[in-house]
Amino acid sequence: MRAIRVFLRKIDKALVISTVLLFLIGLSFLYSTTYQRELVFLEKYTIRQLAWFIVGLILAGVLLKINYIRFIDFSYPLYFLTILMLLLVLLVGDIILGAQRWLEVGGFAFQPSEFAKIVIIIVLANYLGKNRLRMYSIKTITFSFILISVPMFLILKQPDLGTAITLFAILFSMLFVSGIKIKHLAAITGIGISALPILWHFLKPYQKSRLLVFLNPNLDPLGAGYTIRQSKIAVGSGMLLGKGWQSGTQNILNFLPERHTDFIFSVVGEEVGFIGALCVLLLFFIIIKQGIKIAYSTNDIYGRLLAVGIVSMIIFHIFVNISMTIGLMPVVGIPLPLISYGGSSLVITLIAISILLNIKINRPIF
Amino acid sequence: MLHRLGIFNNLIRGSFLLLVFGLGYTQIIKGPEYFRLSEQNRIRLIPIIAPRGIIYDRNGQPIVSNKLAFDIVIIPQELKDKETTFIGLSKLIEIDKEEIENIFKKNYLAPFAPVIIKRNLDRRLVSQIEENKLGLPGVFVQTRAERYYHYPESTSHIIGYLGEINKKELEYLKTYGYKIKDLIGRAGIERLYDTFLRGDDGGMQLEVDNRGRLVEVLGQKEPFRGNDIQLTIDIKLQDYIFNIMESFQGACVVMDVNNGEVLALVSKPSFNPTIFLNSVNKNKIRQLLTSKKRPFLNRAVSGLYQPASVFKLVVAIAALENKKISPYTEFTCSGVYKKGNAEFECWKKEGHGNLDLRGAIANSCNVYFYKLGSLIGADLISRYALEFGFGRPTGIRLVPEAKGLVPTRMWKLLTKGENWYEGETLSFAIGHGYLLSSPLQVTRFISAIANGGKLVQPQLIRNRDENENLQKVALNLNISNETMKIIKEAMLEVVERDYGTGHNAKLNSLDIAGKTGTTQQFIGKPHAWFTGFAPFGSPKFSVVVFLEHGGSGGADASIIASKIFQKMQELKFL
Repeated sequence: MRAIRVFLRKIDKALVISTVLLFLIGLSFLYSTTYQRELVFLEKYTIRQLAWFIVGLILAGVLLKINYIRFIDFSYPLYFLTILMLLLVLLVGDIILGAQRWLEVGGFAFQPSEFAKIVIIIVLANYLGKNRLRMYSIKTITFSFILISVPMFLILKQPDLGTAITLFAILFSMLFVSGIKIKHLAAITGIGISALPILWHFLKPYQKSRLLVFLNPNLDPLGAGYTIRQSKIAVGSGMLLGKGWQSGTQNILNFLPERHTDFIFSVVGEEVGFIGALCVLLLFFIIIKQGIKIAYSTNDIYGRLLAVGIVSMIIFHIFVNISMTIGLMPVVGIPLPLISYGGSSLVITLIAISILLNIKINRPIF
Repeated sequence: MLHRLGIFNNLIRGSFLLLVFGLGYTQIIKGPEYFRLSEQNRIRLIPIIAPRGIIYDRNGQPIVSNKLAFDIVIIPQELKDKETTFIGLSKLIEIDKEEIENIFKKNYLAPFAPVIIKRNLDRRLVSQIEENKLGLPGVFVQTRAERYYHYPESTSHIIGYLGEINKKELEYLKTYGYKIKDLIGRAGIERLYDTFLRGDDGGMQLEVDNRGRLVEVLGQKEPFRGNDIQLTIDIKLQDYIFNIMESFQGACVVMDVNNGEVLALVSKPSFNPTIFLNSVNKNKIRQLLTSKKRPFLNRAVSGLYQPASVFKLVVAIAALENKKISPYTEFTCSGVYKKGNAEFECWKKEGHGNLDLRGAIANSCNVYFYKLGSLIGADLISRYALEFGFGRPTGIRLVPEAKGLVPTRMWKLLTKGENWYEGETLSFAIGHGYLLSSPLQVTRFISAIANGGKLVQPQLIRNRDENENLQKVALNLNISNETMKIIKEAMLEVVERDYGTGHNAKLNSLDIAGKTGTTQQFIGKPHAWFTGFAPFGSPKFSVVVFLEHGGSGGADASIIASKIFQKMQELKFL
């Protein structure tokens, strides 16, 4: 009993409560999106998501028992394990919706690319932490690039543009906080922009059309532009207070595609309006704020870098996903953490948050 | 490092702020617009056509009403297996499967919107389809109110017909609630009172999903039938006249001489307005439109003919009123009248001998009127013709009404660039030459004689409240009673006397006054007129019968007129 009380005192309650609340909100909207008038009611999605949440909680709980420093120690074995899994996906993975992203283990399908995000954070925290005094060096920067480029290449092959870009965002944030020189940062940005036309060449046709449609939404209102248009209509038509839970017409009448996964926030916007959407944003803000606080509060460079990596990963997902639903960004398949349907994303987010808690609990006290 | 962390933190705050602004812009500023778009996404309207008002005759007998029509339709979203349904339907309604497929494709609008495959099924087929229903998912029988003409042929020139609204009409009628594909009156009463007759369409508000399938009926507005109209027509009389005119081409008008109410207005040949209700009949319609018999011409209102000897009454009135002659002034008819080098013949070669005005009218002597015409001059004849309403529309409002023509010196100078010849006065005086009038104009003229000199406005619509108004419309021409008395007595002789030209119209039970006319034609038999009123003592109704190539006015035209008067007695009008 005493152990539990100590644990409860040490743990970041705001972070835990926000996480659980967001999951529950997400679950209720998932239920709403799969409810359709006079059509098949897809209850199984809600049940499956709940099952994944329990799996995620157990994993997060187990990982909380292990000091996060152990993850840093094992960063390279984890890294190679990830690359192995990504290779496996390309060789034997399941193809869903034209992308080869899933590995099946004992009836559970999961996405190694999601796992890769957290491992990349750990590897980068380890590498940048060790080289914290050589951040001015081009060599350090180049090697960190090489570290992420291997899994990034494999993920792009799936193809999973969203996750690949997320890896880049994580690297960028961690390099920035580590103290990379501004001129280096500018150089990377410059190279990145000048590389865009070359990257464009490697994009799949559907990815290209998504980007073109973002630039001109009226280009193809029934094809590639359809989703973004319907999503904007859904969010906008929610107005201040929303149409009510399970009453969003864009939702229940099936106008919104992919509304249980990447476009679930459109349903939130439609059914609970601006006020509801702000509440969800507020909960996300609390998670991010607590993450930043943890990064500040620890003196351990590895812990701090881990926290920054995790925060950057989550904020990048939130920002890109929500921007996408209101047409501020092109459609790239990035889920909304804790809300979108998808086991791997949910479990990885829970693990990421458990690492944040871990850093707070196990921070060195001087 | 903490400095960088601070910048990182601010970047994150900035991105949250950006999202808040983005959401605020989308949901608050643009919210109403997106809400409208989401409503457009989900709500569809389908109209329910309201039946038109019923048209009754003066006794409340329906002339035009509505009946239930049965259409066979396919509701696309209920279709399970197109192939089997099309094949099954093909057998049932005896249309090729390919044809059905074509009709379906051409008329497909939305998954929830019924596609009409075949219109106007007969009831036997309807019950067959109802029985077979389970075998053909997606096939339904839909009911619809369709115009029903109780007397299609005999009333079509009064009633008119319906047609789909065209683009030009839609442009200026849109503000009155007309919609695309609406049926609109194309002629007659249906056209004249279209806005009054047409109903208030209802509609169904449907909720559909992303594929346009019906999810729920949100609301329904019931259609309201249009306003009914009562005509002055007596349908029994109208139909009777239409039938006794048999294969004659021509027109017949029966009018109340005191208030202008039209009891019958027949024009032959006629057409069946039902053919316009189905686009399948396009060929039949084209055939009728190009037919030399011109079945769409309302001869009573828009047909123009020379009134012939009927017009002699105008000349007689003009002469009496201006004291050019007395009723006893005699002229001699030798069978021919010479004017310069030209000879003008009377219809009776051997001549009528000495005649006064009564005798001249009863015998319809041409020579008498040649002499009278040249005595009083063309100007006076024109003036009286115009006063009696020749040369201008009667205002019955059945468009297009012909206005006819009354020639004058000025008219001839302006249009032909020539002076008036004296010879022209002679043919003018016996109702030939340039003079043109419609049977309705002649009817009004005869009514004016019957009622003592009041030019009434012909009426087709019965409106009890405004009866006083209608009386006011009648224009008093201030013809002296003596003149009218002489003319009426002469007209009585036309029918009563054995030598009278209209003797064939005589009935023992009724005193009929009349005047015949025979319009010579270059080709074929002359056109025939009988015009008259009854009873002589206190005139109530005027009857005008006009037969194209009907021969002498005293022949078939007079016989038909007598039958009409007899029928009117049967119907208790006289």
